[in-house]
Amino acid sequence: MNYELSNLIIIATLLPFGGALLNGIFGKLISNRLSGIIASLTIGVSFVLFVIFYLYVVKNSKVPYVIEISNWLFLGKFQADISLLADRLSIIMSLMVTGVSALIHVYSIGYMEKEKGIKRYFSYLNLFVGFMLVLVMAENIVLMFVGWEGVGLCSYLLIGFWFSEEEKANAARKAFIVNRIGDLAFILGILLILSYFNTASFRLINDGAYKLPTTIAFFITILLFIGATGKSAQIPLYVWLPDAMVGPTPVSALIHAATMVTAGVYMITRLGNLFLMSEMTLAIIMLVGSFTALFSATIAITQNDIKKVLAYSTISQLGFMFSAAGAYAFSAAMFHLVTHAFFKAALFLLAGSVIHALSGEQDINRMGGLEKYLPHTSLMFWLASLTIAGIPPFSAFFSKDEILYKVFINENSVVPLAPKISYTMLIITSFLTALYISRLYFKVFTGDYKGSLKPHESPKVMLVPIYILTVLFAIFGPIGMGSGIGHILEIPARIFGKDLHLVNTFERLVGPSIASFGTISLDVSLEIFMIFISVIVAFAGWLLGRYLYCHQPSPVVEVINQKFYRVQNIIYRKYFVDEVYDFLIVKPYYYISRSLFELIDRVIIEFIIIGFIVKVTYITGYLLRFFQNGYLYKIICVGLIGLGILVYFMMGK
Amino acid sequence: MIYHYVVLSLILFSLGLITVIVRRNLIVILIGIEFMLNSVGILFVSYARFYNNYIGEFVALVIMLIAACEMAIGLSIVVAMFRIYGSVKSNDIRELKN
Repeated sequence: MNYELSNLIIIATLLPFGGALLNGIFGKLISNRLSGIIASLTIGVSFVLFVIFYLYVVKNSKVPYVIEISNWLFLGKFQADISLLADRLSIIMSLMVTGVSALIHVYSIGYMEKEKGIKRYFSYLNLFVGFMLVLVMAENIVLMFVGWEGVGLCSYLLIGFWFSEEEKANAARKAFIVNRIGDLAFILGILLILSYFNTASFRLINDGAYKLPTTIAFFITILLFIGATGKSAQIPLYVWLPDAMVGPTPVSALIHAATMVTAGVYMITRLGNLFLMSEMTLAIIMLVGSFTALFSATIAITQNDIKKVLAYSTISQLGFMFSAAGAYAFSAAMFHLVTHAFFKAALFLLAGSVIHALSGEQDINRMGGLEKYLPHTSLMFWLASLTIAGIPPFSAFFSKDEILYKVFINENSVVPLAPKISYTMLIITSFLTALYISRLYFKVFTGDYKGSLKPHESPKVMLVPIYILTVLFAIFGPIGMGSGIGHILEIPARIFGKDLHLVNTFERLVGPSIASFGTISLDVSLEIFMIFISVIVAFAGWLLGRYLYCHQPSPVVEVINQKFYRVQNIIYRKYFVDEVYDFLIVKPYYYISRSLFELIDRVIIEFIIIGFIVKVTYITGYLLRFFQNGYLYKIICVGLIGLGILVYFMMGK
Repeated sequence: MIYHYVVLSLILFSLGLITVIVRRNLIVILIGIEFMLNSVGILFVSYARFYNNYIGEFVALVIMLIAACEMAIGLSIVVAMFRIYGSVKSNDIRELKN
């Protein structure tokens, strides 16, 4: 073990905490701008350290590194240490987290400039990155849970950053409570793991997973998956994410698009061998993921809040990742996770730029024609929209296509139909994705401007990070290109007798650290055929969106609105899921709590127990009050009585 | 023989104690304390005589000395209290309550 390198990783992981402390404690002493610069620098330095380590890791295959920091928990037979696991998976994830975070920190300097409590903001943001790194780098599942809870806390703090408005504070609470439900399942899963494996270490769990009975594996994995649905906003626990959009936009970009919500996918990938033990769970993950993707994509079409559209889009894209994980295409899931982090963070930051330009306006019906006013933003938004729509040659085309292909060729012995159903839902979702994103783009940036304020382009400090992200999501795709497209591109190279190793670079990159399920026979011609399908679907969706929304108001849209008013309304109200949850869970829970409060708290505790204690105290006090009256002679009398008693007993002996 | 002295001392002590308890005037209370001290002095002297041990008489002298000091301090406290509260009645001064 290389001593300097392990120190490097520890420093890189702890730096964000340092920034959080600095901003949190000494925030009063420094200026707003300096606070932002400190926060950005800590993350930036952390990123650079991870890059150094990454270069080392790629050169030396002697991974994974386990970096032991200290002992922590000794509970019965097992032990959980504070130690970090640095393998290719966690390093790539850390690179993504720190890189995107650093850009968003810089963006925040511009976006949050005029806000109050900017130091608190940067302190929370740094704290978030720190916990996220703990989650990613953790060597055992218990330490991962610490990071898991930490990011949940920071998410709560940042959604409720403007806590003085009730709606925002409530959204923060909702996010926290919904996450608690998932976390309960996650804890139960951890406890089951601990009782069956007697260890918390990821490597030992993955090594020993094959010995596990299928039923136990099913229970463990399904509990962990429920935990993941809470954190990664899948059905049924996705309801908090759209509400979380009331937080500052950079927070939505960082926490609710790029990093925290992908923690569930990361966790499943980390425990890949364990999940492979239960095909039932994999089928459930695949179906839930693809259904979530479809479900939220339909909602995204009807929403009018620019951030809500992106929030549902995030849920939908996370569904893609889960489908891939369910098809045990973990590298495809991770690849889509990384590309999604880039383009969705960029989309959110661009949305923030639009909102900034319009001084807080979020309703897309009151935008339009912003192309003229915001040339940079609109150009990048166009690129990002094409990317998420899955149009080549941008990154999401490669990653989404890989997922679609892997899901299609997947075979599930427990639920044989699952891959095909899942694939159908995902291909419809691809179409809907292109549709809703083109609707968003054309409604916001083309047509006539409907607002009254004059929009202004964002400052450089906000634009430069988005430019970097744009470059990333535009060129990152080929790294993970699947075999089909790779083979097409390699044909010219083959002619010259060279092998470019273009195929699946990303998979080879993370491959050694994640679970694989034998070798899947790759059918190149099938994959090329499927690429054509998804490209056609993407273009169809995009062009339909362009046809419907480019020239506003469009007569076709009017007709659709009138004919499908009822359906639209149901979808616009998010299928009444919030209302159903409210009726089924929140209200009964409220009444049960209320009656328990009335019965146990009011009657038994307050009246009987507390009442008794109060009476006893009162009577004792009443009796003792006699001695404390301040009259000299009474005090002497009491002293004399005491003396008398003393003397009596002494005489008695 | 010693009996009479002890009874005298007891009577004096009781008188002093009753004075302290019953009277409200701080100066009179001080006089009561002086009574009690002196009754103990008498007891010491008489027992010293009875046992032919002169140390008891020295103790009586020490008690007188302490009584003189105590009286000086006590009286000055009373004067100070009179300046603050405008009264030397013990019932008017109930600071001990708090």
